[in-house]
Amino acid sequence: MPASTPPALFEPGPTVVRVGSYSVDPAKFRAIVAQDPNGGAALGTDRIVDADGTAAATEWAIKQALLRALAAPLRLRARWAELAAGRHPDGGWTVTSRGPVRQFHEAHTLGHVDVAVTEAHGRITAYAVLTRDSTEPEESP
Amino acid sequence: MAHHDPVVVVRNAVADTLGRPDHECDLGATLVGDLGLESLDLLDVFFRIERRIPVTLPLSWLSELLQGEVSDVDFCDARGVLTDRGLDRLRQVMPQVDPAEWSGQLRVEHIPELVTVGNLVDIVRTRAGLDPSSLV
Repeated sequence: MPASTPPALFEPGPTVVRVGSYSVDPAKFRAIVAQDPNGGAALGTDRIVDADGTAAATEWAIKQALLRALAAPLRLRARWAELAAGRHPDGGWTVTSRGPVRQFHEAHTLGHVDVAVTEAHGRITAYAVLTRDSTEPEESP
Repeated sequence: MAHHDPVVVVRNAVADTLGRPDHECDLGATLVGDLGLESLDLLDVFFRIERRIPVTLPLSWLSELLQGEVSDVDFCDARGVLTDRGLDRLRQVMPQVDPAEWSGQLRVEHIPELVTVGNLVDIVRTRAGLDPSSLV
């Protein structure tokens, strides 16, 4: 799926607040999960359902991208277990949160998050774009 | 009873992750910048340490250690950039971090890039301090 392009800031409409991105090598991710003495629990996954670990690695990248887009404080950065990534029926990615991460999102972050994923050169890159609705164009400083 | 030297354990775990000899993993070397690890590789290092000695390194505990008693809103701003207070706290765990040098510049996601082998040794010692028998 091609990456979403953030809209120009000078056009009326959704304003991009922040973009978080995270890139991962699925083969490396799979190898690291295999190293986890707790069977992948530390990375929030207990399964490698596909042979090359792509699905789990993609979900991991999406979660990390979201935490960056939210500018989550350090204490919340390890709480990826409170995030869940999934697919829309139309094929697009979604991510939901719960617990302290959701509380942080609702309390400190205004806006909507869209997720896109690309694959290139053996790496998966997830982009989380935080946008805030705006009906007025940005004024020049 | 085997003695676990945290310096040896950490250097060995880092070296194994890198596929390099232990002597290349100086205590002052940053894991990401100097030694070429990705942030994800840090998890690999943690797991290797946990497999070698009876200590656990939960990332939630590590995050709490790094942020300390500083509140979320005081640790970093809305852009995820550490405040001066956040930098002062970080320096307590990572003494090589100069708050004056990083003021207004260090994002939360870039903290792993500053972690040194020596920082990791201290972290293991701190964690083992909860159970001193794990290192003797």
